[in-house]
Amino acid sequence: METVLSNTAISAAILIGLAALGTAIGFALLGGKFLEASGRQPELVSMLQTKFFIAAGLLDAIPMIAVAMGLYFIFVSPFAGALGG
Amino acid sequence: MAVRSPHIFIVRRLLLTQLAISIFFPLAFLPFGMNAAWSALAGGFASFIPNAYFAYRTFQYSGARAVNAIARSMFAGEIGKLALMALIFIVLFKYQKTLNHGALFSGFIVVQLSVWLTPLLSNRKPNSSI
Repeated sequence: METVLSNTAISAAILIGLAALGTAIGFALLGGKFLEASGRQPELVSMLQTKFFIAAGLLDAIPMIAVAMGLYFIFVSPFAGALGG
Repeated sequence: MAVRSPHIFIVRRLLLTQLAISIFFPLAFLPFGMNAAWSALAGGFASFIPNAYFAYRTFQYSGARAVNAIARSMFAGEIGKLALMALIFIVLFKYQKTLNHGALFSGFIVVQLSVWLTPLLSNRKPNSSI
């Protein structure tokens, strides 16, 4: 049982950590490009804002699912429950 | 500051689509019982509410002079989106013991992946009624 719980905790940590890493890299690139492009062409800021929002939604769709799954493993512990814990 | 972006109709359509999916997708779970339908509804709103908050923060400022404020607000919005989603799930898992987890994640994932419909939504002309 302890092995299952500890492995679940480690896997949830990896899941949330990798999701955060992916989102962080993506947002750093996205934000950098947004500032760069808006500095070059300030008249396009409103269009870039919308594009940023859409790209951000596409970017963090999967990481958010990963975070939700990680929270599920932490708070519900389905594997421990299956073993009768 | 008021939202002035002429491109915001795409965002409005996206949010309305997500809201519609959040409300109507749980109907597919009614044959499995009210608990499954409520769980799917909760999952849908666990995705829609943080996304609506992120949209609000993204379009809180507008104009070329406010680029720094826009960028700051966008990053804060993203942090808030993740925190809000985590909070909703923690509350659901902690205090809602009768959740149907399959339905919850189905609702959440379907609404979350509806962002991928954006290219379809943006191909149409803006409708002033939306």
